[in-house]
Amino acid sequence: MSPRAVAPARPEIVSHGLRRRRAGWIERATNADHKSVSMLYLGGALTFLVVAAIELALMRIQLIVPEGTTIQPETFDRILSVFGPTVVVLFAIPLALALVGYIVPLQLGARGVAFPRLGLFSAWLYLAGAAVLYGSFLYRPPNAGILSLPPLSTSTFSPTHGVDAWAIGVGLCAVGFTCFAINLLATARTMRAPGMAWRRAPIFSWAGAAICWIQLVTAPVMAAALVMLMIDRHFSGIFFDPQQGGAPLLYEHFAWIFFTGGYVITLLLAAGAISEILPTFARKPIFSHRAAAVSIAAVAVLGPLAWMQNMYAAPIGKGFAFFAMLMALGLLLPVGLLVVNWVGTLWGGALRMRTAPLYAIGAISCLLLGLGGELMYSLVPVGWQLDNTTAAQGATAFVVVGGGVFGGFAALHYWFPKLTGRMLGESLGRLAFWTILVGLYVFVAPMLLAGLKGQPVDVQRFYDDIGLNTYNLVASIGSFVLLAGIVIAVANAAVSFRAGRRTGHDPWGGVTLEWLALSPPPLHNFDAVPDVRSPEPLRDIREAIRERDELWPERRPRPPVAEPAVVGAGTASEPRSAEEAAGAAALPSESVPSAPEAGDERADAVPPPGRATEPGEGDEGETPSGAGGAPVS
Amino acid sequence: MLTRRRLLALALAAVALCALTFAGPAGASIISPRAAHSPNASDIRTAYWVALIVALVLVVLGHLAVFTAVARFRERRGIEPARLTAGRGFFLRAGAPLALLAAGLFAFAVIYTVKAETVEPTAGSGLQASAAQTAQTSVRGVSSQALAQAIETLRNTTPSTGPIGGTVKGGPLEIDAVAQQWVWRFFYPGGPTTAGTYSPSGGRAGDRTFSYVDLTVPVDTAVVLNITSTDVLHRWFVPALGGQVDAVPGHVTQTWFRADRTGVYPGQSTEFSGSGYSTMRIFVHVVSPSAYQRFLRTQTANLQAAQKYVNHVVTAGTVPGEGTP
Repeated sequence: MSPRAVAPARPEIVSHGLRRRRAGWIERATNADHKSVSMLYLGGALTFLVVAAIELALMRIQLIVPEGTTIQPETFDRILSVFGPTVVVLFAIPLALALVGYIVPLQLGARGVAFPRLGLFSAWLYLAGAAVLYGSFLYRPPNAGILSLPPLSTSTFSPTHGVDAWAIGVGLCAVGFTCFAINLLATARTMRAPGMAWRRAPIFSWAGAAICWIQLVTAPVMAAALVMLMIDRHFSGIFFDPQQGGAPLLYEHFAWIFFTGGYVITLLLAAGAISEILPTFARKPIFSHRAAAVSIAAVAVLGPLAWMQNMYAAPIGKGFAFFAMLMALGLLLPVGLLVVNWVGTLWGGALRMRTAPLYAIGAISCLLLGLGGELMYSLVPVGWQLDNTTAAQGATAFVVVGGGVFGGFAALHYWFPKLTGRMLGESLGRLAFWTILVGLYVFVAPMLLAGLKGQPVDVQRFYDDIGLNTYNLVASIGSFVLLAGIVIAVANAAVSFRAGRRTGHDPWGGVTLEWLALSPPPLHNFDAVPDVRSPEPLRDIREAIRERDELWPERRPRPPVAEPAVVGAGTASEPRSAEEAAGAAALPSESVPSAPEAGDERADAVPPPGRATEPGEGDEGETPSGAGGAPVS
Repeated sequence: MLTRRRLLALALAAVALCALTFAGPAGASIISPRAAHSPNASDIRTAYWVALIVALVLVVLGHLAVFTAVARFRERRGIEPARLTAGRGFFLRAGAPLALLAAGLFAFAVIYTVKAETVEPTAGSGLQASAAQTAQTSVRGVSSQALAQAIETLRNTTPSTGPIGGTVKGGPLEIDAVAQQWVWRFFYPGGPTTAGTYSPSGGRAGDRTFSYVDLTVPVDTAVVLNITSTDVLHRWFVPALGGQVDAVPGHVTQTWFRADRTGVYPGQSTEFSGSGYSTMRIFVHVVSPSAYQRFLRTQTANLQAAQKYVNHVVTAGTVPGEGTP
């Protein structure tokens, strides 16, 4: 007799004695559950967002007046050298990984991840990398620039150990990100819910998979480059030392592959989150699920391949520059189609203008501006003019803040109830949004204009005689406003984490699987994993319940809590465990369409969460009708 | 109420964006780069304006579409959202113009890249205009010949050819720009030198006249810069005279310009190179051909005098006229 025959078809709580209760921080640091790991990433990312904004403000303080003397060049270079990796490696990528690591397994209907300890290890590596990078401030911080390009970062020109801290810190993070990507891709490959084909996978899961593929391909490149750099520095290697026949350009390629990957990840995080948020808040399916998925995949392929567009001034063959330009211009197609898709999603919808869609629309606006700039300097001649000026830097700031901060906070506002069971403060969130938006414009606009006049990046001073004093003054003011907005946003998240208003498991009426789980989800995520028949599994379930209630009113559960509704496929006839009964009781408010949920937040003129739509109207052929959803016996 | 206020804010943002866009032509000087004073810089400016217009149109269209959708399709009592999705082929039709635009931009950029790199001949009023300068070369190639020349440059022993300030016959004036932490050094061609006069290494035949920071060139003359570095990465950038070019140790990169007006054109290194990076400025002094030749003679004389002084200090151990240092 196989164990299958006696084991129940649904999970039960099995315990071999009581677990010893450990201190909270130990639990936080050693819990290998993907949700706990993601919270580690999230905490780190938000912390370093504030740190990066402070560093930016410090550098701008130095640049308020021409030839300022507030911060000495040596100190300025140290701030600059940690600022680059802080933005990309400690903030933007980890934020994307945090949200992806938390949400994607839930969206795909996985009860966990494939390699939980590998995931935990990746978070440790990330935090260790951050500790090493910032630990260097206890002795000698790095000072070899944002990318630590050799020959400047070789032991000849940077004999102190600062660059070692930079290389080890960034290298640990890169290895960590690789581990993370392996874990998540294996999960997405093997642990999806039954019926969750990729064509039905939510767009954010597509973005998450794309983000992990980018990390899997580009992060090891950076790790390898940094190992080579360390060999050069400490073991007389000659990989990058031109005096002995090494190739500094090789490192430049490697570093740009990784950092361009980080840039694209920021873009994909925002694109994925927007593609989830707009349909939910407009109460419409995404305009074209397939086109959005293909666009995301295309961005993930074309974006990193355009890394050499940062190297138009370097001695690379003309053909390589044209290749990079072709890839960068190719991005016009998927990015343009994503915007068309988003507009089509809003068109004819009924947009609830909450904070999450506000951030999402802000992200679209900033991404359009930033990518418009990127489109400009991806043309080789324009790149010669704008590359490494504050104009290019301003466009990048639009993408990083638009994608990372606005896209990231759009996603946070949207999924915060899922992450914590609490709302992320809406009014403070709005205040933060407008503050960041104003700060960003006031910061970036003069930078763009100064860059057109030739102000270079990374400078510790500018000169009175080139007539850019006003631009720099205004940009500095903007950076302070930006810092204030970011502090408000992060403080809002920190406060809401402990004291936000409690909310139900599905405050927005979402249609993807993560809204089926409790908030926050239990260790095993789902008590019952439904069969997925369309890209909108929860809508199918609601339809099925509605249909059942219409056809067989006598089966309507009453009172609601006494007989919880069935959410799993073909499971109704089976005995349920006590644990699940408790979970399910809190679960499907769909079974009680008139029940108020999520408190008073949505009380004003918001229809009940069940989507009143015409069954059979069709959803691009994916679902013949709502009845095709999860079968409920 | 709240909804209306938010709508107003969005509308204001859209108006501000449009104003920014359409006020552009009026205040074009704000959004225009530094005026070009060289044919290659003009090509780059043309590419810039085309790219700017394309990007602005796309960005404004995108904003208009998004804001219109946001403003029109808000949640209202009694309004049920339509389950509107894209029909078959919609995205092919939407993507086709974007693909065409990308292809057009690519072709345009390739043409202007080649155009900006093509060295145009020295104009009539330029230095040694009588020389047949029809040969058009393209810069930015990294040939083995150029590398060999780089090594020569680094050794500072390029033999002098031709008369003072002479151009290579039929070609442009070639100047070697050697970057180091944190200054640019420019070697002029064909400097007249006496053996052992002023080189820091003691002086050899063929030592060339050089200057730091300030590059002096004749007006209307095609100048090709052979750029390299002796230590870390640097980057040549004089906005009025063309684009950015990396100075990479072990490589020679090239750019060219033909300044059309006398004056001083400021520039700056744009690749981070250490603590003195922001002081690494460049001033290109464009002067008349005769002034250029005068400059070369004066510079050479000054260098020789300085070298004599140094030689005296080194050999005699005294500063001339002051006794023991």
